[in-house]
Amino acid sequence: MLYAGIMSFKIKHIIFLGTLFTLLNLFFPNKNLNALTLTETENVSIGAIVGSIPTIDPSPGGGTYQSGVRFSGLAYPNALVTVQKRDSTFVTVTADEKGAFSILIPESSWQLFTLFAVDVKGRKSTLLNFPTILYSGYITDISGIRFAPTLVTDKLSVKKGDFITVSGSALPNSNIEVSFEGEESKTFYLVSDSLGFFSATVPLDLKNGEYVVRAFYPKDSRTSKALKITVGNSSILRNEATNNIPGDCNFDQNITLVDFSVLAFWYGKPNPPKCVDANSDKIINLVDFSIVAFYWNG
Amino acid sequence: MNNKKFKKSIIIFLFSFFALLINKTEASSLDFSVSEKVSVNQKFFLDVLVDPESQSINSIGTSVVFDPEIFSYEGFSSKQSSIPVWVEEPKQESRGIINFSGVIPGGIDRIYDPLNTSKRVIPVVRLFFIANKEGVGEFAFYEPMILKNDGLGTKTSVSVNKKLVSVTAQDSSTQEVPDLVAPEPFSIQIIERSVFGRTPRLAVFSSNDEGGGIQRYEVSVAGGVFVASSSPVPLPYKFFSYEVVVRAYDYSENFREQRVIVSGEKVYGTGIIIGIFAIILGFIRYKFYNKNKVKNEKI
Repeated sequence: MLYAGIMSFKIKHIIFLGTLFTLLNLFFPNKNLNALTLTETENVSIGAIVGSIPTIDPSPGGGTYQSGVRFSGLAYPNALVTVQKRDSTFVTVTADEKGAFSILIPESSWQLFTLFAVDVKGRKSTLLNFPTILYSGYITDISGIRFAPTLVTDKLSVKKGDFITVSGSALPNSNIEVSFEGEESKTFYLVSDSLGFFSATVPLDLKNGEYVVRAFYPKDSRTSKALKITVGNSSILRNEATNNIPGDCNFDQNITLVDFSVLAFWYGKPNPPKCVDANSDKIINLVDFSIVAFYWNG
Repeated sequence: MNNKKFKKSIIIFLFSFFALLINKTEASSLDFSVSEKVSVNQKFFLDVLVDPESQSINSIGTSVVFDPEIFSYEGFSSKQSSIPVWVEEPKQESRGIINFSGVIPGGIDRIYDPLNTSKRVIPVVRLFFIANKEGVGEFAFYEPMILKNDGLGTKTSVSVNKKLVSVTAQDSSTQEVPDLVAPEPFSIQIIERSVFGRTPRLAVFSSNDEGGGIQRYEVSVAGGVFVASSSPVPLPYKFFSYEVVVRAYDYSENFREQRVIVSGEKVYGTGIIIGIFAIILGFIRYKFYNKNKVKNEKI
């Protein structure tokens, strides 16, 4: 009787916990920022327009194209939005004062397109990749793209309890969340002004350690460039001479093909320099490339 | 008793169900797309496909294993690929094993296909093969690794599929068109070494070949013999400028040659000048010291 009671109690509990877990999974699919799940929050629609195909004049070369892809969405007011193809050719347009952009690229076959935006203060967004299948005679529309805000901090290292200034660009009058994740987590809620700028000086009363700072729109898993900061015993300003981007061996504050080439040189070799060993395990393998690729802003 | 069994079954079912739910968020899969039937001496391609399961991934590495008696590897095409930066280009490291790995800065999570919006699989790379003899051969993945675009290099659990390809007798009606096109023009980038860094000056290059990919690169430095190399190539320190020549060969032995003049290294040159100057100074000082010593001894 007692055994049956315990059994019944356990099953009830399991069923209850299981149902709760399922519901949580369904309604809060991924609250962990480390596991970026883009399609759940992005409103990217794809459609093919068949029939009257517009003639595109790719000035200054002239000529016509009957196939292509149109990227449209929101970046930052007056931002420069660039679409780059695998072969490094690119097209850049300027977004309007509300941050809206639209680019038509002539192309007729499979292509990996990479989009990025640079705000009016020269801050670069994260890269957005669109592996796209194109068909001859079709214009593919990829709309509803929204770039995450840009982000900079004034300090590289913050003395516990000291202030840090976070600033960047976003869509005008938008809610923005800036999260600090590390030993513990903290999120600050900001609103951009009518020109899309946001800036706040906030106290950092977090445990000592390394933190990753990101800015994003509420309920959007697409985030700004990730910045590393340290909470410790002293405050160090972020300037051109200092940085702590993993893999940035030439200290130019950018992760580009140059850094990847240096990483590739040390791939599989013993005793690599500290700057290329992104996860400090004294081995250069695909994990180091993955970490450095995450910070790519070249 | 039956009731107990029923309860146990429910528990097992629920645990399996929730375990599957948890794993689903961390999974990704690799698959092949290839013709099921080919004929002897026919060149065919095998597409490697990835399904990131809607999570953003930025690194893919795996080996593709096949029967080398039945198939021969003939190269790859970067144009049919989502990998913009190769860590290791697809290469047959040993008979029947092709290794490759690459990264996608920014990450990818799905494909955009206007005629099939529910499609999720993304082409990773197109590998070319030739069927050598009749039979059935298997293509399989070995030690696959797919990493999340999370800044931590987190591994996903990768599920893989195999594919069987049957090779039939040679079809006399199909004749392979020989590849006479050389690889595409490419540039050679020189990356200077930092003053205090341990990484030498590097030559970085990458070409593409529509007909079957790059088989190998050969590099000649400062008029030396061509040596099989892969990018990046460490360059020697030289006082005077010199030429670096890179040849990219495809699988039909067509090649494209590119050249670049590399300037003499200032650090190295300055070091030599300072060194020579120091020797001269030392020599003068020694002579002067000896003269004085002789004078003093005479006095």
